[in-house]
Amino acid sequence: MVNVQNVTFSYTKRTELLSNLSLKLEAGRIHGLLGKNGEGKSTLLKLISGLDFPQQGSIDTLGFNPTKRYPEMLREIYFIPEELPQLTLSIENYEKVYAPFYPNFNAEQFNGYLKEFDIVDKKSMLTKLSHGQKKKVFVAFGLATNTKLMLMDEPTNGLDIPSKGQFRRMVASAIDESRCLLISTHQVHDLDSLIDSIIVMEKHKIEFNQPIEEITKKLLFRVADRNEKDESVIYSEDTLRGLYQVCENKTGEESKLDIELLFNAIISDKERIIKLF
Amino acid sequence: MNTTFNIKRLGLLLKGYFIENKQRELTTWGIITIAFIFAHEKTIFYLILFIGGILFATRLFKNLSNTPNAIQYLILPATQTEKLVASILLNTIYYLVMTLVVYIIGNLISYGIYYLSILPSFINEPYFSNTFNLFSTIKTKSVMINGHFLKETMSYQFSLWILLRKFAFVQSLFMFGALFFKRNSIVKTLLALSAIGFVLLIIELILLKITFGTFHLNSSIIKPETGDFLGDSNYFVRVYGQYLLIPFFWVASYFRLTEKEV
Repeated sequence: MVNVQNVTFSYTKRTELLSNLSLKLEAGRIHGLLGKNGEGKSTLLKLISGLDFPQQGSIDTLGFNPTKRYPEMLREIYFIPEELPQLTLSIENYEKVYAPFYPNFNAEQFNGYLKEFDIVDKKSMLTKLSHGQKKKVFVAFGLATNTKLMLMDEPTNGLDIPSKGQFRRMVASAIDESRCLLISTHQVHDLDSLIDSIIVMEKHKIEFNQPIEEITKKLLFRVADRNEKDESVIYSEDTLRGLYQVCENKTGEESKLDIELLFNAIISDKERIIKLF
Repeated sequence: MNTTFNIKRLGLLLKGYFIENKQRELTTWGIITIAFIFAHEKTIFYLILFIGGILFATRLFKNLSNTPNAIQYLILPATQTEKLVASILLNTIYYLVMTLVVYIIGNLISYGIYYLSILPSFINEPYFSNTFNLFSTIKTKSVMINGHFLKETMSYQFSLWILLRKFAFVQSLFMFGALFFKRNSIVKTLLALSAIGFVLLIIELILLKITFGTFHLNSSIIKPETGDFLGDSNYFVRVYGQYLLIPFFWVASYFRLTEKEV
């Protein structure tokens, strides 16, 4: 679906934002793109969708070179940026203007998502909506386009607590074998139980890209006693409830993935984790 | 599906513009119509056409100066050609036609009010006949008679085609400026034009000095063998230059749009 090969990109000549980056994304999955601020997560989304052009390397998005911005490719991509566009349109008119460009857009689905998000008045102007409400409209519209590739940059920013749950439910129901979602986020807890593949960017490269089932097969996430000594521990965090640990899964025991803990473990001992996969 | 140009997508782009700007368009043209009821002078017409046209042309690409809006615009499933053609149609044909239409409507209303004597003292006598003589003008031209250059004053019809050419030239230039400069594109385009004009003037003066040993030469083209006057070089440059520069700026705008990143 998406194949990024040895891509290098920089906004200025002095600093390289992405360096020799490679990544493959498969259909039927919700990929979570994690990384510290300024690692180039948003830029990667822009490169995949053809909004920025790589200085070196190549990108294949849905079989197209994204820099050409062919309509055949663009009609199968919906991109929700972190900052939303300022459009002097009502929700109804936004649908009227933009939906015809997406051949698989489903108006019923759109109305259903809006209803689930408690947005009832389609005559509301987008400029009058709060950031969170506007985000809901764009998420609902994006899911209803039924595009093969959906890119979301910090989609849960600005959403209230109930809306985050609704967002997870909607995304989970909208994904099928033909669609691929790439979600860039810092709010890892918002996407717990939603994403099924984790991509970690560090030092302007993809350092980790594994499906959840593979992660939980190789790593064990547990809360341990402070006095317990175990050589299989890769990373641990001291909390009031005990030691939160990421360990090598030597016994094949099943555990629930803690994305934040995994991310911190990768940042602190990248070599050891990568060696396991 | 046509990857370069699809008339249906072009139609969707134009429809989208009118849905998004319905209120603004109605208000603007309403105000301009009212202005034309009270002011019938050709100067006002040309001012609204050219100054308003420049503002209109740059506003069409204002989206590109704001990253989220630029993302929305660039990722919209239409080719860059379709997006550019939609903008050219709007900022050249649509704007020119609308200005002409509201000018005629404004004058007709003014005429009606005057002759019905509703506001006889307030409104100037309308130049109803002038509405349709909008394109007639008085021009001076250099002609050579008995080896001397004389200025000849002549009145001739200024065709809609000439107006369209001049307007399309200005619009194409400022549209390119709007795509080239991220902010304050009108001022920057004017500054760039002044700078280019100044450089060309210096080059022209140097060439004149080198070729003819003088900085002064009129713009007439004279056949060297006979001394016959063949035409005014300024006129040729102005007219044919505009014909060449309109597609030049359109093509340059296309490449600028194609290479646009956010």
